Amino acid sequence: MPKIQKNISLFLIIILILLICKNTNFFKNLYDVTSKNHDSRQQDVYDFCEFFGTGYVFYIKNKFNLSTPPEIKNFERSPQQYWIFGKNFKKIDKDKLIILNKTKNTKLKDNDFKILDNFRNRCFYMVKK
Amino acid sequence: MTELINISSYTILLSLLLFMPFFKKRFLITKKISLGEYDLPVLNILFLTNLFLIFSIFNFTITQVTSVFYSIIFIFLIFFFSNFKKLLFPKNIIYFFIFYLILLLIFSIDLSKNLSLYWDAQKMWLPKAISFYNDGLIKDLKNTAYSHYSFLGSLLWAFFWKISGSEYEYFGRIFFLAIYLFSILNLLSLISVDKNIKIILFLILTLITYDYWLFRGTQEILVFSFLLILSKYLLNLFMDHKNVNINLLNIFLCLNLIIWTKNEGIVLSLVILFILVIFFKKTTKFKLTLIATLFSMILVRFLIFKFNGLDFDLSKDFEFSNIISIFLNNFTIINLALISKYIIFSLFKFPHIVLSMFFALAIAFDKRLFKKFIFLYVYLILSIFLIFLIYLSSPHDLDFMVSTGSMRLMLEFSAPNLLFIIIFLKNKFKI
Repeated sequence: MPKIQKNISLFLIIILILLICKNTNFFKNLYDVTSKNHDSRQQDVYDFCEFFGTGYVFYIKNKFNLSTPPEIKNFERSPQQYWIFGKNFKKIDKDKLIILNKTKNTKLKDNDFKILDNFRNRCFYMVKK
Repeated sequence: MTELINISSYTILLSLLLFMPFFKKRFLITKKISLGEYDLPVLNILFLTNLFLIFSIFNFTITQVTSVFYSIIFIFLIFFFSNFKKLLFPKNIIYFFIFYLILLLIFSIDLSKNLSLYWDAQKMWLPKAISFYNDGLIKDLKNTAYSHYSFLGSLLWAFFWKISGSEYEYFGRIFFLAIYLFSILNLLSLISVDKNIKIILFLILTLITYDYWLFRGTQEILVFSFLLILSKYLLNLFMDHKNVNINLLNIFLCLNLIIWTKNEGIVLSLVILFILVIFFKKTTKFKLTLIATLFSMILVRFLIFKFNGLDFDLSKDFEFSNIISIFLNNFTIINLALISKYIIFSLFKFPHIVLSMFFALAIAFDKRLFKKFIFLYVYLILSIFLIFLIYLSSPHDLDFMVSTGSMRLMLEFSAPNLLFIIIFLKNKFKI
């Protein structure tokens, strides 16, 4: 291959790599991965207190330093969120409860549980009294 | 910063794993086989992934498999350094390795930032992966949702998560990236051009096919990658009459992986078998052997499920006893238009499908080429027909089913269509 062609192809390779970096937000991602921890990045990418409520479950897990999952009840149709607790995802602690997407008409079991976290009267974290 | 260092070192480890030649040329079964510089790594990775599957079938836990894996790597390293000069390690491979590694790193960083998992991944695939990760066996999958689904993707997810030494699940998904990039690079080995041009094509193909959407924990990207590896050997089989055995070996290794990755992989493997039987010019006895081999592989898959007490259904979304009446009931212009609409949407979602269709059309105008590669057009028609068949046989709300699944089906079935691009370039520029 002549030298000029080689240089052009190398130039093209660099342009394409930069284009891929731009498309994937490489430099911003790099900054985020170095500056934010895994759980806060997880919280950023999911909805907080709507649909799956994944962000809220992450928030509660971190705030109360939970290693096993509380019972999770979601009033929206969604996959179970126990996977957030990794290898302990099957060891559900029935004394703790996360409520997601509570509607106005739904009543909470206030007598049995104490509310430890309330997000806009929609998502709750509760423990048995 | 620690996480970034972990990601970087893990991508280097994965790249080495996918590129290292684990065989010496003279170890291969027959001397008639002449393997290209890419074929050895392909054989390695296909054997390795099939081996993980066999280990899990024989009730090895992930921790045990990881120990075996590290032992093999240790033995290999001793072997590698003592036989360095005798091993096949072409210079071009090192050049491609560097660019492969750069892309794997860029996409891994994207994965580690985005992290979000799709509904199916949260409900089905990750719980299965966690079960394997915690040394669960196949029989333990009956406690997970959709236990009748094939599980190879979750097994690989768990294994590569385990060997990463990290607590984060996405390290397992980096392997999905690795095999995807590897399958594209492997496809490009079909054309003989300068290494820089090949890298440019590699970058363009990844630019038009990569999307984080594919790596949200769903399994279609694995089927796509295995099917893309298979496509290369399918083309070799029909075009180049040498190395029939090695091409067939690669094809059947890929088919086995596809069968164990997704349930629709079983149907997909039958489509590939149909193409093989119709277009492969061999004796009837030989073709019967191919049919028997694939059906045995499918039978083994069902027997293993039955043996481990898992659900036997192919899909719970279908009522197989009433499938014909459901199909006839769904067979309306409105439903056909609905499915067509989402197939057209997927063309916009995945530019490589549009590009493939464009080149398929261009090749169709050349009678000689069209006749030569008619098997690809048959595959294209069968795969689209299959999508219609799947959805028209569904008893559920068709709009919901098609809107949530058709694009993923189009993606996984689209891998062999990339051959249209390669064939066009090969014939137009004589490369």
